[in-house]
Amino acid sequence: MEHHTGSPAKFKFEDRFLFIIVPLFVLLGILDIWGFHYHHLHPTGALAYMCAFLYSMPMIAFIVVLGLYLAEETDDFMRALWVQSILWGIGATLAIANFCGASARFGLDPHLGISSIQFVFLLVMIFTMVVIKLRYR
Amino acid sequence: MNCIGKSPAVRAFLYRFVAMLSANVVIYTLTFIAFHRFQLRGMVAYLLAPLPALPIVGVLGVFALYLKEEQDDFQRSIMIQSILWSTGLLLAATNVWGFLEKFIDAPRIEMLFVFPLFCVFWVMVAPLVQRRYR
Repeated sequence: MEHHTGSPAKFKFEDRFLFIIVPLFVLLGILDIWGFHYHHLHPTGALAYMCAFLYSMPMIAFIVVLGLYLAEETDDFMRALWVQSILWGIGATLAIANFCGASARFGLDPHLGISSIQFVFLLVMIFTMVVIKLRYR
Repeated sequence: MNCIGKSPAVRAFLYRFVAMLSANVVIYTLTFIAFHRFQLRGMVAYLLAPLPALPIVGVLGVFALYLKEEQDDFQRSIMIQSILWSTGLLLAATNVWGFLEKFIDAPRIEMLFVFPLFCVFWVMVAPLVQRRYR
């Protein structure tokens, strides 16, 4: 059996992810199903703004947790691995956003909204991390 | 501009950056004229429409080249930190705006504005990161 040891920063990252981000996702999932799909609520005014910011919380929390991890991580290799993944992630995201934007400008609609940016980023970041980890095995 | 340093890598970065942005303006203008004059449709339209995005992909390559060529670890670290902060700000801003579009019908932001927004954040953040180490 292979044993993986992690740095204290990694443990903190995992704890924060488990106890902050996951509950936020669960809460918002419940709110989404209960409020918007079951009761068909249509919030307006200040409540709509609050909903928008509430729904943004998991992603913002993830960004903060990842930032804290990068600041606290003492293992240079692990930090470099994350930084490389983020750099590839943002590079690919900006490239894809530009291709979609340019296509849309000339009448071809690729059906990608601005809220899909974070999913593209996360996908590329995770993919890059796996590739880099495989490279250094 | 003291905040960006004067190493050969920085100079090369700036030249390439300006060259790519100029190429973007030229290609965008030519594509715009082609679309309006010839009313392009079908495969040709699909091939030509994303062309103005190529220099922007080039700009991303310029960032990557700078990170590869910069000999000064401190300067490279500052560039990386600035990009990381800008990435965080961009993701947070687009995420919030995406939900504002959903909940309050906020005006739709075109994907074409994502890269300029990233650049705005980067220009704002880079001097602040540099100032931290003064």
